[in-house]
Order: sequence, then C-alpha cells, then structure tokens
Amino acid sequence: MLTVRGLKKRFGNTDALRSVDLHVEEGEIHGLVGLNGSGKTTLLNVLFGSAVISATGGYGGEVLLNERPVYLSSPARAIGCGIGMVHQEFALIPSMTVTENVTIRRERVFAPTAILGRDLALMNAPANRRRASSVLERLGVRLDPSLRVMDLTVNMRQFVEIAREIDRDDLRVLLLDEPTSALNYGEVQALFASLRSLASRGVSLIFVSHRLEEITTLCHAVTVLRDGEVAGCFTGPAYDVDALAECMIGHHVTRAQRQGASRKGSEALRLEGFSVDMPGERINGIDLTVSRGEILGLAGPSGHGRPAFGYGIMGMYPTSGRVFVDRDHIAPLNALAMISRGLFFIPEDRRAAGLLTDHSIMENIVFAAMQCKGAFLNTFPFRPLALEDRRHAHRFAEECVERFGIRCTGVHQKVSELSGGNQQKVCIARALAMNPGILMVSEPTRGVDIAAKETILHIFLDLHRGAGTTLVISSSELDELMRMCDRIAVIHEGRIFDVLDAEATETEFALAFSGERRVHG
Amino acid sequence: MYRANAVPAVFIVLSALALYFSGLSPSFVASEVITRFIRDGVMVLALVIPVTAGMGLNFAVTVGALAAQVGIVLAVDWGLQGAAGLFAITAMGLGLSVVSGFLIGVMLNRVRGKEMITTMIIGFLATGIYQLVFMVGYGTVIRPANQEMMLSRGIGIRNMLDLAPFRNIIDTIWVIQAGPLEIPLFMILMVLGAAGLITYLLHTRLGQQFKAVGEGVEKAEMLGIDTRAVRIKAIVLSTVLACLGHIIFTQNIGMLNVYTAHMNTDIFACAALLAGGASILRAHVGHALLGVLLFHSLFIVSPQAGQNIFSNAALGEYFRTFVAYGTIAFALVMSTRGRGSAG
Ligand SMILES: Nc1ncnc2c1ncn2[C@@H]1O[C@H](COP(=O)(O)OP(=O)(O)O)[C@@H](O)[C@H]1O
Ligand SMILES: [Mg+2]
Repeated sequence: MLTVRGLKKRFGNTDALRSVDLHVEEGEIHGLVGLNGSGKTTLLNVLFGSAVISATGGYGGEVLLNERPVYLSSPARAIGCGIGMVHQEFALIPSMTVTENVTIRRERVFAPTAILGRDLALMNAPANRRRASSVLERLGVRLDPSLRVMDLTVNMRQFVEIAREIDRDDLRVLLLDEPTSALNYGEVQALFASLRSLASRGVSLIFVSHRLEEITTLCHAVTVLRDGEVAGCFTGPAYDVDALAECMIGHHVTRAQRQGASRKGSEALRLEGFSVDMPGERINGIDLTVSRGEILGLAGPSGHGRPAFGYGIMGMYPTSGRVFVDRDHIAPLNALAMISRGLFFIPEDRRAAGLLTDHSIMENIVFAAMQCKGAFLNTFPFRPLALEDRRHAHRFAEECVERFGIRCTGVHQKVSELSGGNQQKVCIARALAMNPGILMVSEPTRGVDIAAKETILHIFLDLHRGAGTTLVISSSELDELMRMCDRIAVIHEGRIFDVLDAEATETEFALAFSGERRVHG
Repeated sequence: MYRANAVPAVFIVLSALALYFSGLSPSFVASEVITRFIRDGVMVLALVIPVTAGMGLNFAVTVGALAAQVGIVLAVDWGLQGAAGLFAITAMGLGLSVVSGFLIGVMLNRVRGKEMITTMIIGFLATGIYQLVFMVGYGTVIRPANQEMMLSRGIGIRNMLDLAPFRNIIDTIWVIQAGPLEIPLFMILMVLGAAGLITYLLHTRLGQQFKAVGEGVEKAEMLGIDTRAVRIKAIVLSTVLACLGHIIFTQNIGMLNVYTAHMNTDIFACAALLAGGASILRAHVGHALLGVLLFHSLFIVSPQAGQNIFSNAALGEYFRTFVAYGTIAFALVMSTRGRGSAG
C-alpha cells in the first residue's frame, strides 16, 4: 500500500530524517515510536505534504502508493491520494463549531442547489450535524456538536480532530500523530475500536504514541526511529514493551519513585465551596486542603472537571467559593496574585497558555521570573530601570538545559522548533526559575517520551525533596500519580468523589473513576 | 470584541444629538438616509467577504468603482442609451472587475499579512492609470466617437459627464409613497438581494473555506484548502460587488465626475462597515446594513448641526472626515489589541 524508500529531510543544519525506509500493507496498523525529536512528526509531515516540509526545501527519497511513485507536494495533493492526518497540534478552526470542523470540505448540501456546483451549493446544516454526531458516537464520545472548538478541552479537541479524518469515505492511509496523548484509558479503548474497524475496511494506519503498551496492543508492526534513522522494525507477536524501549533509547532508564511519605506541615492551600465555570469541565462546590510539603494527585476521567482546578485558581474562568493560600483569603483570583503568593501553575496546553513559542529557550525560562520576581536583573542603576542580567540568565538557562536534558542547538533556539517533550521541559524549567512554594502542574508528561517522562518525574521529586515544594499534580496517567503522590483526589462529575492514598489498589481507583462507592465491610 | 460592538451605540448617540441640534425634520432625514442606503449599500456589502477571508478591509474596492466608471465612459462615448446601455455598462464593468480582481488577488497572495496597506496602494495606482488613460490617452491613442464629451483641446475627457440617458433608470421602479416618504422598493430589494447573496455564499462550502482561511492560512492549508485560490475568489467577488455598487451610485446621482467620483468610496464604505459594529477580523452582512444607516444618518445631520451650533457649516464637513477616519483608526487599534491578547 504505502512504501517509503530512503526518505531524507533536513531543516537547515539538522538532519531530521536520514534515509528512512518503511512499508505498510493494506489494512495494517503500523506503529511508529521514538524519543522526542527522533523524527516521527517530520516523517508524517512528509507523507502529508505539509507546508513545513515544502517551505524548508522539500524532501529527498521516494514515496510509493500502491507501487506507484508520488511526490507529496501539498496537503491537497496528499488528500487527493487518500491520505489523512491527525495532527499533533490539531488542524482545527477554533471559532467554528464541532460540526463545521468535522465536516469541513465534505459538507453535505441541499440537493436542489447542487446544480450550482460543489462549492456554491447551500450547506445542509442539519445533515452535517447528524453526520458529525454519528461519527463522534462511533468514537464513543458524548459531545454537543454545536459547541465551538475553542470552548473544548484538549481531549475533546483531539476527538474532533480524529472524527474529521475517519469521516472520510476516500481514506486509504491515515497518519495519527500522538492521538492518545490527551486521552484517558477508556477513551483510548474506544478510539482503538474505531481504528481497528477502519483497518478492517482496508485503510492503512500509521500510529505514533509514547505509550508502548498501546503500541503492542494495537499495532501489527512497529518501526522504531532513533535520531532520524530506523533503529529497528518489529513484526508479529515477537515484540514487547521492553524490547521497544531498549531499541528506542539504547540504554536503560530508572523509574521515578517516591521514597516514603512526605513530612506534612501547616496548611498551604485550602478551597471552600470552590466552583469553576469552565465549559465542558465544570466543578461544583469543592472543599479541599493541601498541606505544606505534600504531593497531592488529582485523578479522574476527562470531562469531569479535573482541568478546571488549575485554571480556576489562576482566575482564567469565572469562579465562586473561596481560596486560601497560607490561610489568607485570596480575592480576586488572578495569576499575578497567585504568583506573588508563591503559587505557580503549569497548564496542560503549553502552546496556548504556557509558552512564548517565537522566543528562545532562555527567554522563556527567565521571562516570568524576571517580570514577577525581579530575578535576573542587575540592581544598577536603580530598580525600575534595572537591566537584564544576561550572564546570570544565560548560566541558569544552560544549567536547566543540562539538568533536564533539553535537546536543542543551544539556549537561543526558538521554542517552536523543539519537539513536544522538550517544550514541556522548558515549561517546567520556567516554573522552577520562579522558585515556587506551591507548584500546580497539569498533565506534566503528556506527549513526552518514556525517557523524558522519567526525567520530568525525577525533577519533581528532587524539587520536593530539596526545596520542600508542595506539589499538586493533575494527570490522566494513574500509574504516574501512584508513584509520586501522598494522596490522590478522584474528581467525578465536578466533585471530589474520594481521596485515596497512594497504596490503594487499581480496583479501588477504577471504582472511584466510574463514580461507584467502595463497599465497606 | 465588546469594544467593537460599542461603536454602533456611539454612532446612535452622536446622530441623535446632531439631529436634535440640526433642527432637521425626521422625515427629511429618513428620506435622505434611504437614498444613501440604496446608493452605498452594495459598496459596503462588498467589504464583508474579504474580512471573512482574513484579508482585512479591502480598500481596493476603488478598483471596482473605476471599472464601473470605465464602462460608463465607454457607453457615453458609443452613444448607448437606456436600459440596454445600462446593461452594457454592467457587462463591461463586471468583465473588467473580474480581471482586475484576479490581478489584485494574485498580488495580495504575495503580501500575506499586509493586505490592507497593499489594497490601499493598489487603489491609488489604479486611479493613476485611469486618469492617465482618460486625460491623455483619449484623443491621442484612443479615438473617441463622441466629440462632445472631449475637452475643447481634443485631448482628454471633460470633468463632468451628464448621464441623462441613464439617470434613475432603475431607481424609479416600484417607488411607493408612504406619507411624506418616497420608498424605492426595487432598489431596497436590490441592496437586500446583494446582502442575501453574500449570506448565501457564506453558507456554502466556499463560504466555509473563506472562514477557514480567515482563521489561519496554515491550518486551512493542512485541511487541503487551496488558500491562494480562495483568497483570489474573495477579492474577485468583492471587486465585482463594488463595481455593481458604483453603477447604482452613479446612475442615482445622474452625473459622473470622471476623475474624482470614485475617490473616498473606499474610506466611506470601510467606515460605514465599522460603524455597524464590524472589526477588521470579523464582519457580517448585518454590520454592513446597520453601518450604512448609522454612518449616513450622522453624515446627513452633522453639517446642519455644525451650522446651528457654531454658525459654520464647513465644520460639519470636517466633522465627517474626522468621523470616517476616526472610525477606521479606532477599529484598527482595537483589532490589533484583540489579536495580541488572544494569541
Ligand atoms: N520546523 C522546524 N525547523 C527546524 N527544525 C525542526 C523543525 N521541525 C522539527 N525540527 C527538528 O527535527 C527533529 C525531529 O523533530 P520531530 O519530527 O518533531 O520529532 P518527534 O515528532 O519524533 O518528537 C528535531 O530535532 C527537531 O528539532
Ligand atoms: Mg512529534
């Protein structure tokens, strides 16, 4: 079906792909794994004719579809060849509704107006809506298709992005770039069912994920990329998670694990009757106390309000109820007030809310600290006109790059050129520059490869042990929370359903996730 | 967004105040507003699609107006008359505006992100070419059939052309009398028809492509949309509508000031659109229709109000200019701010 031979791609001086070979049969689900920056997205971008590729000088090597060579010069060309792509950063139009996004370029039209031609016929809104609903239903999500995409959470956007592609009748090859990184376990299973049925219809799939368990359960074959080269290709049942991990990294990584319980101090953060009106993720009247020096986890299915915590406390959505930091009532809630009280938040959507992507790594790391805390400034000539202390900033940024293993050409490289996992590390480095007393993080390891994931978790544990920072970690990776946290609050339907300790069993968590009480006895 | 929608309210308040001080009768003002509505409505509507497609205010509607004027001058030269003449003017104007709209679209694809200033300069350039042709070309390279419209020295066309053969041909259809007001029903329907056409277009696949391109060229490209072609279509449609609008305008006036009639059409049309609550990132048909009414209400009453308050009618004229440019400047500043905080 799809064959790639000797594919090469250069960005300026970096070789993103050096001679990659790949073959995918009709109806095959082909896994693609590799660390952040190993070239997975670049490979898919080449196969989709993306503008980034043509704008940077095109690609070398050969792509064959059904044994016939094609040159994929633009997305329109790729789509014409029956290729579809689920983009890592989503190709959604924020101000359009779910329906409009799912059906874009394939809108149903009223038959009598069809004589005006494809483009000038009147769109049949009810038919489009039904169509969108039915695709979403097939994917197993409940979502009002008249909502605008900009009001959706990341995982719902992910589903819209997927729905748009699987709705195509002419689809022959589907490229999925980390489609599961924003999804929880149940959602992933529903997605897999849809992907399997696509494959059984004869569609070939290339599936990128950092969760190796997903690869081994879903894929018929796997290609491992390392530094832009094929490091290995596994077929049949002869591969397992460990083999893949070793092939990807080339060495062994140690898993991050909390050592014993934290020493708890006084009250650090308290919520009283706290409600957040975040579309699709409401929380209602939550009471919660976090002690100093504690690591608290927030778990729970998506759509039940977990992301609303951080955004609510930073005042990004309308809230009610009261928030106390160190027993002081904070009102009104806004980011500046929280930062000045030593509370810092790393949001899950690092592109939208987190990073200045057009700026350098160094600028991103020191910016917030410089603006809010006056760090990295010379005290000469006098405070308001203080000059940036570039040497100090430079040294700090280089330390972060070194300590966190940020893969880059240097601290002056633009953040937009980094791969997802490395962007996440920059986000964390920036938070650390603030030296926060309380650090709230949302999805710290989303879209991050297995090696970087452990690095990031180690950074948090070191911070907790060294500086005694209070951590509130919201994550859809339960395994990660169980390794890190003292207590884990399970959010269900906008309320705290239960607070479990980290020793609770998987079954207890599964019950809490589905909103069922433990039977005591 | 909220600020942009405060603009219509400001216009309502200003118009009401000016109306009060002018002492003009409401029925006079209403009949003037109706006249301006049918004269300028289509021109303002011509701006909606380029805004939707993310190209901002299309100051090159001037080119559409020039295409209409070329058609008119040729029709006068060839002695065409009546409805058939008007039809010929429309055909020539539209042909010319499709071609020039295409060329403008091609140029704008080379200057993505700087469309507005480019359309403005294209408007000036087109004016220069037009003036050269009719001031110097006519009577030298081009041999006119109608000597009456030429300047006495035989080169160049007179400043004013009397359009008696075409005057008020279409705006006398279906005129109904409502008390002191004359309502040209057909013309109002024509403007609303143009509004309906745009609304229709925005509910087609093409309209969906305009919106997608307007939100971000990169994303639209990822969706396989030929963004260049879509942007060219937006400008062609805009130029064609501008041409139609200017034909309606001139036949209503009944005279053509050959060298200056098209000037400021772009500024006044843009200001009217913004007065209706549009921004340079978002505009729909409702903004255009409301904007024409509000903007021209203020235009009609402000000179008299200036006369009554400051005993100086010229002040009203200055005030108009101030309002037109002020509205545009305000919209530009506000929309840049909106973009900054959203991005
Ligand atoms: N637009 C770009 N400009 C410059 N370098 C890039 C660009 N996109 C990707 N790269 C580089 O190419 C390499 C591969 O990146 P990518 O394909 O995004 O990795 P992955 O998806 O496997 O994490 C990285 O070293 C990255 O820095
Ligand atoms: Mg990637």
